[in-house]
Amino acid sequence: MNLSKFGTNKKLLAAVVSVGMIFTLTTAVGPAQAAKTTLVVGSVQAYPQLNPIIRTFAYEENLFSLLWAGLTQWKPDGTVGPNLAKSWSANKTADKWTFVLRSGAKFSDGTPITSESVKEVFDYALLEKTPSQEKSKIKTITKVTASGNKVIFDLSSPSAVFPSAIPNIVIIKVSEIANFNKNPSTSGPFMVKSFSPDVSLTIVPNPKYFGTKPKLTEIKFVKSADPTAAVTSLRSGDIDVMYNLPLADAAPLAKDKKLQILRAKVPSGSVDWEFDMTSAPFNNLKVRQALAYATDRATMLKIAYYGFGKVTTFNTAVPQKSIWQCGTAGGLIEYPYDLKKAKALFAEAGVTKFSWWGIAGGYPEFSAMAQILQASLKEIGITMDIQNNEVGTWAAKFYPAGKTYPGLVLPNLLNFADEPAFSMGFALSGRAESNWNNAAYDAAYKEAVGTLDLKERKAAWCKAQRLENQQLPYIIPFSIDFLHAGRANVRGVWVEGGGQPHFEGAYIR
Amino acid sequence: MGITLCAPIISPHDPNKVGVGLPFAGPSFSNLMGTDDLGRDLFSRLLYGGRITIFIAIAATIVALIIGTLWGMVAGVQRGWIDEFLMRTADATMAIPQILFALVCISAVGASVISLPIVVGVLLAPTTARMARTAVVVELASDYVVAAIASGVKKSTLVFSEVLPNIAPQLLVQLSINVASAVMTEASLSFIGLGIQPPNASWGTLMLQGYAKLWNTYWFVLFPALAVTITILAFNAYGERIRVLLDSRKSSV
Repeated sequence: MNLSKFGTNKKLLAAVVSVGMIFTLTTAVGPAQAAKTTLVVGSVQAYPQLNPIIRTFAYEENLFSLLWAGLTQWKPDGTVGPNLAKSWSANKTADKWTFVLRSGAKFSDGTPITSESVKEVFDYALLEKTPSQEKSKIKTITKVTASGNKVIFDLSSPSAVFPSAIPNIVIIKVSEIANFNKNPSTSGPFMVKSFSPDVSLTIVPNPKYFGTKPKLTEIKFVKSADPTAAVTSLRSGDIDVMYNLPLADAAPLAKDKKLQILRAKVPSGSVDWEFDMTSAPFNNLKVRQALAYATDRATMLKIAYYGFGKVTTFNTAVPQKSIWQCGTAGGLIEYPYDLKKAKALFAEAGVTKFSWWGIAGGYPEFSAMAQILQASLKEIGITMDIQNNEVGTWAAKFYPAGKTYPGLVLPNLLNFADEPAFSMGFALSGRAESNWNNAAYDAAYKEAVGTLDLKERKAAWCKAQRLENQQLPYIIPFSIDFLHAGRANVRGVWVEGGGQPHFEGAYIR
Repeated sequence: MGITLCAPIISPHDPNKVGVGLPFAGPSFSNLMGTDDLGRDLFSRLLYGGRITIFIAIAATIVALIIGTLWGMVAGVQRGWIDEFLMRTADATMAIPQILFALVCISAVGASVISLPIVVGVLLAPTTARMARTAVVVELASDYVVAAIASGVKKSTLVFSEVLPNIAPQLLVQLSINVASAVMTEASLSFIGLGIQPPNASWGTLMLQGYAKLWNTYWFVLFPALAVTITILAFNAYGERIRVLLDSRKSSV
């Protein structure tokens, strides 16, 4: 045996073992580090397509702030701030708005974002054939002009709230529309890595983004079979964030120290019950008032929505805690739970029965509310039968506005930003599914939207709210929180009043 | 079944009375299976829900038995193109997933204690028809039938006076299988929210409510699920027992 050779072999062996150990350690640590910068978002929904201008489902809005940039953007406090536009101004009559673009902004493919790019998007969104849900907010635009680094909007009627009407008109490359789902050039902090419609989406940072660089290296959006499966995935750590947490799961999840509930600072969603105001019995104000008094809002909120929301005794689309709520000081009356009053009003109107037209399966909260209302009405001799239907059958009964549906009460959700122009716009003539065509309300709404001065605008909103409060075009029992849940180590996520979570500043601790 | 029939006697509370206990209370002496989100007694709702589920299942089975037996008998007696047409129709109907077919029907006519048995019964009719047709064909080939026809007895008279009573045991086996299938279909329809409407409940609607609260109140879904499982097993075992009895009687003959 050659000892010296053995010694050399030992050194060689030691070196090989050391290299092996280092390699093993590096590869072991590598994926762990990568995992800490990858956020996995789970939902029972998936993205059917990527074009933000023609989005159909609220879930698609989650991508707006990740892949795209608009001229303005929502901030966590419910106000709008600059984004692609660094500043804006209106003329005295608020029917001409000028937005000044920031310099150096580029799409993810490196092409510059110019005022022409912005004009192209608005022109595309305004086309009759473009099925944009945002159209009602921008339909007053008569002309878009691109001039240097400025974009000028001419409006058919004054709009003091125009900057908050356009955060969702995000800037895309209109030339890519035909092939949008392949690999669109994005204007936001992330870009698409892979996309499988209705299954999954993976996005990675956009190196050409003009704003703050994301801390995450990847966000994956995956689909869960159902909410219970999604909650299980969240608990096990398979997903980091669960979109749209069932309210029944919120209370037990909130007690789990490894998890957190994600909710808006200023929630602005509401539950509303609609009825046809052009046919009996709800064409009678007394019946609508009776229904308002027979509604045990507090119990419904506690039982059906597990207390996640605020009772709306004024029955307005503006949430009770909103800065725009006029309250008793603004001349609004309250509708407390008062079965005696309800009974008297129903008797005066000669109404003894009507029906609830709900949704089967997917909305247990609606069914719980209906059963509480049913029990209250039974106490005063009113019969309300509950008919839960497949969602398509439910919607076909009352949507779009203009349909007649006598004797039915339909539950629905109002999901708007905390700006009365949007939530109260729901009651305008021709838009309200309850067929409330009220010229005085339309005029008050128009006046408020066109008033630049904040004090004067609030006074105008109060005028509209008083009509809403007195005429009861719908029953709004309470405003609600839209909840999401996340692992406790997920930070930097915030939620819009309407419920859309923002992941652009997210990181994992 | 016996227990659910005695619901008005056994049930400690009105099944639809809100607030007999605290919402989502666990099992206790006053509420044996706990309470639901509206504080209603789950034990009472399970008992009364069972009555609805079993009523729908039995009514649906009777509907299936009437339609299916007539369907199969006409095919088996007439043979030829009528047989082909009726049996291919049965094949086509059976090829459509039951729950999808039921969903379309219920969406069209609405869910009630009347519509549900009819829809579920129509869904189960083709399998009954197939079984009835086979039994009729076998029976018509028997010596006594051939001899009776040769001696001038009318075929239609023979079918109702002799053939139908003789195939009754096979129909009885099918009946028990159909009850189990009807319980399952009703529960499935209720589970997707298209079954019995609130405030009434069936086992399926109780499971739907319980499934949504699986993390908080696991017992909510456990008891109705157990009830459905035991009922289906019982009816299947009953059907199997009849089949074994019939087989042993045949072999002894």
